[in-house]
Amino acid sequence: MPCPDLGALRASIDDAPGAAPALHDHVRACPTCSATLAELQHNAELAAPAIALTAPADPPPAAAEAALARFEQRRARLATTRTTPAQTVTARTTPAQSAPAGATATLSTATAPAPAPSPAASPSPSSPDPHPPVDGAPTGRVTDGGNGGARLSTAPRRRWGRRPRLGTRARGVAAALIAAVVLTGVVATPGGRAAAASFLAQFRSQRFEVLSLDPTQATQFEEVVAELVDTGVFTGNAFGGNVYGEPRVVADREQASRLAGFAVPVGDPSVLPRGVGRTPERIMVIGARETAITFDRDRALDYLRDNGRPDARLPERFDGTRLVVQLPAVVVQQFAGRDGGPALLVGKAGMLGLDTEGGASLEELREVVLGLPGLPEGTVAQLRAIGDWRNTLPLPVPTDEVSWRSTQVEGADAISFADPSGRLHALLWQRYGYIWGVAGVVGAGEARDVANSLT
Amino acid sequence: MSMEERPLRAVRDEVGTRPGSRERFTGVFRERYRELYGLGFRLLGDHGEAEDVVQETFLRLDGHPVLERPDEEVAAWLRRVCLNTAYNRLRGRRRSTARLERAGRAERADDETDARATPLLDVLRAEQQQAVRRALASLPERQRACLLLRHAGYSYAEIAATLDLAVGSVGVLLARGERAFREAYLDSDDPDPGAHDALP
Repeated sequence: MPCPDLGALRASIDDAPGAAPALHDHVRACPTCSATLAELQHNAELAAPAIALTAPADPPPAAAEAALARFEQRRARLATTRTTPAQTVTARTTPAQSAPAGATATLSTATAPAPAPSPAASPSPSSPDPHPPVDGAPTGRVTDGGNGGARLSTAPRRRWGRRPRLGTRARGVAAALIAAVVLTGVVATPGGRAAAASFLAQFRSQRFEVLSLDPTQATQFEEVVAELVDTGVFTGNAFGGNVYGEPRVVADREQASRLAGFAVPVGDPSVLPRGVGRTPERIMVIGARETAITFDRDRALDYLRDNGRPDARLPERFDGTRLVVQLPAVVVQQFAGRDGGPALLVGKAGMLGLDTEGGASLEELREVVLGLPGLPEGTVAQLRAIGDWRNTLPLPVPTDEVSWRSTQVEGADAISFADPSGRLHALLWQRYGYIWGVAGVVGAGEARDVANSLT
Repeated sequence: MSMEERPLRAVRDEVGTRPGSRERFTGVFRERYRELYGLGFRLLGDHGEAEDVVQETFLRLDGHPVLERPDEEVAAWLRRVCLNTAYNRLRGRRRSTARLERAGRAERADDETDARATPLLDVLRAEQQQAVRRALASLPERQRACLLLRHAGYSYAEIAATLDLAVGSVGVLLARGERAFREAYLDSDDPDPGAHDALP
């Protein structure tokens, strides 16, 4: 058999058509083909996990139905627009496009630029589009208005729909804050909940417990959190922006220590992975902050009624209870890789705290929240199963995005994380009253070596 | 306005659709939405844009004669339209960026700030995704499409149908694409084989 061509060799890796048994026999006997096949194998093995990084999170089952509803609405709008003589159309802009462009562009169909030539021959999808999108909505996605298309399914609107009230970032903050409240599982001291000059710290994170969320649970949870914010059950200034603010880049570890109020960790440079800078390229500090969110009892009752609990009762004293979240200072040291991008991050933070002020105890409020319709039962069960909930910070971990396992760092309980590609590893642990973390484009063993060297 | 200038869809709607074609369309939509969204996202890296690309793809399918063809032909047609629509968007992005850079108003620092403000794993994941997308963007479009399709799990036959190739040509395109990808990727990164070891 003559030497097979490149395509046949590549196909043999996948056992695809073209990989005849004779080919394998030939390759075993031919050093040139054997070397080429090894190179192709190496290339394929490098490409597979790398390209896998570009894949989206798996859409929830209801996403197609929600998208179809949006499509039908858009189609209906197109039909309406077609009946008017004007041929001026508005070029749609997605958030990603509108940011650099700065404004929505108005184009004429006669002057709209034709798309570039297509690599495909027939049919010709890339031929000039005779009917560019004409809807004026920023993204063409459905909001809660109109014919209620967004309510056709239980699709998680936070991810897959357009919510009108909160930006992505604000929702993220909202989710984090409410997650902190819901997930920390604290119990109030009844006598200590009155409005007081100083708050009684009822919760201190001293250990972690992973809260595994499968994609369905994660989207369900996000949906409920977003709903609680959008309907005003929980309100607070934190929901309008980044509660933590931007990190401040500082000159050195001493300045970082002064700002954060604790010693910045120093590692052993000799254990840093190959290709990672010996000294931090950047040190960032995020100051400690305190923020509060307020519980609205009437809106909570509305929410319960709207979600199948018309007979729900909540004591009036619950109204206006404030949950105060103490966000610790954080210092992150960023070590650059060879391409200048961050290859390793070393972080340290104080402890997260949670206090209350108002008529409802944290235990009571927690019971209300954990009993809200829509929360995934498995998640609630995991939370209730946490024994030392006063001192345990649950870490929600999406199981489709991150794998984890328990380990130890310098004798302290730690959690090791890895992303699906196997390229990113992270460690998180608590020691001496602080939260520590190491993450990077490094091996798990390398991350552990760095972690063990931190003082 | 002459017939030729009118939107094709308007003409289609005026002549009506065959009974059952709506059911056929919605069935195809439900069946193919997820994979098309995945393709769009892999190329564009943005949920909203990927969604829009899928919507535009199905707008083109709406009333198109290909809808009456067998399922596998419809699927290949949809993938082809989806990929080309996404490529058009990428070209549009490049044009926008070039215009902004010429005007001295490029504000890419915003993205950098946000990324660097995000702690730990998110930053690194985003960096890696960007590195992969940069490497992919450096490939010719057919190679890029071939790599994305193959590593999204499509068979050689499906790739051939999508890219209008002979099945025997897929291996060559894939081999060349992966070689080019490796060179571009390693040129911007230094993935350490030792970094792939097991969790501690």
